[in-house]
Amino acid sequence: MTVAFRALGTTAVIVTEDATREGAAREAVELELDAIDRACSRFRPDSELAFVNRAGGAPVTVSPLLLEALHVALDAARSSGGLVDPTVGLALRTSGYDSTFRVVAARDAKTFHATFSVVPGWQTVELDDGASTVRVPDGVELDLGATAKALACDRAAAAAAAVAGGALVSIGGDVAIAGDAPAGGWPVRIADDHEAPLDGPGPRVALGGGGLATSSTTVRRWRSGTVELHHLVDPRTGRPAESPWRTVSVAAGSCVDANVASTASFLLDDAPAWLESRGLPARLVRVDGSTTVVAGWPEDSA
Amino acid sequence: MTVLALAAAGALVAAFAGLAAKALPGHHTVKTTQARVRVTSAPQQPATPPPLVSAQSAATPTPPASPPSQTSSPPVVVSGGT
Repeated sequence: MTVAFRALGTTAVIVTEDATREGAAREAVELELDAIDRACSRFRPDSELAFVNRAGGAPVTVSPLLLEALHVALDAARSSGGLVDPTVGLALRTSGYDSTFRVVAARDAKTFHATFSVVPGWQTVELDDGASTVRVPDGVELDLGATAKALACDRAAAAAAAVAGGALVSIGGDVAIAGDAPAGGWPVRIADDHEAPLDGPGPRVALGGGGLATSSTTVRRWRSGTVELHHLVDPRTGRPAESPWRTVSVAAGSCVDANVASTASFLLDDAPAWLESRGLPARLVRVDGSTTVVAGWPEDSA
Repeated sequence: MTVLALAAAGALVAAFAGLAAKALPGHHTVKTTQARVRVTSAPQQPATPPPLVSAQSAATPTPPASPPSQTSSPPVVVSGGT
C-alpha cells in the first residue's frame, strides 16, 4: 500500500506490504517528520534551528533530536572532507534560497539580485553533548537541508517498520528502507526529478535495504536577473556548484549515508573513483546525458 | 511634561543617593572587594573543556549490504532530485 502527502516542503511517500497497518504507519511517520520540521527547519521562525541561527554567538540549549541532526551534519562534513557543510545557510539565503521553494520559484527574477557569501566552515560549530548546547559564531547560519531530510527518512522508515513490519519511505526522492522487504526488493525508478511519473522511461532498480539518494540540479532552480541558480552550494566557493554531473544516485547503508555521498559526489570531477573506493554503488549522469555506473550498480538496460 | 520632570528629578535623587552612600563610612566596600577577589581566583582552577564534536574522528558513508539490482517490476517510488 502506498500513501503520499506533503511534508518538509516536498512529497513524502510511505509504502508498506501490510495494508492493514497503513494508518498506523502514516501516523508514526507524520510524528517523525513534524518533529524534524520543528527542530531543523531553516524556514520556520519558531524552529530550534532558527533560534540557533539568531543567537548572536551565544550557546543555545537544544533538544536531543536537533543535537542528533547536528551530529549527523558534522559527521557528514567530516566524512566528505567538507563538501557537505551545514554552515552554508547564509550563502544559500543570500543567493536567493531564503524561503520554501514555492516562494523562491515564484519570485520575480528581474527584481531579485543574488549575492554570494563565504562559507565559514563546519569547524566553527561547537556542540556540547553534556550541556546539550550548540554554539555558532555570530553571523554563521546553519542549513541542515542536505542531511536532515535524509535523517528524517531513516527515522520515518524505522518508525513505519516498527508498526508495519517492513516499510519504504521516500521524502523528496530520498529513500530509506527498514524491516522486511518484499521478495526481490523494493522497485524504484531513477529519474532527474522525484516528481517524474512512476511509469516513465529510464532505469529501475530493486533495493533490499539501506538507503538511496539522488542529487540533481535539474530541479530547484531560480533566476537572479539573467543568471540561473540552483540549491547545491559548493562550500569551497559559496556559489551554486559548477558540476560536470547532472544527476547522481547513490545506494548506501542508510539514507543519510546515501545523501552525503550523492551530494559530495556532485561536487567532484572524479566522483566515480571517490564512490568506487568507498564501495558505494552509484549511477552518475553527466551534463551531456552520458552515464557511468560504479561499485555494482546495474548497467542501464538498452 | 510634568511626568517627564518628575522622572528626571527622581533620576537625579537616585544618582545623588548613590554617590552619598559610597561616601558614607561603614558602607559595604570591604565585602564587595572580597567578592571580587573570589571571582578573579575562580579561573585558576583547571576547567574541563566541553566535548566539542569537531574534535571527533570522521565516519565514512557505509555501503549497502548488497548493491541495487536491475528489475522490471513496477516501481513504487521515484528517486530523483528534489
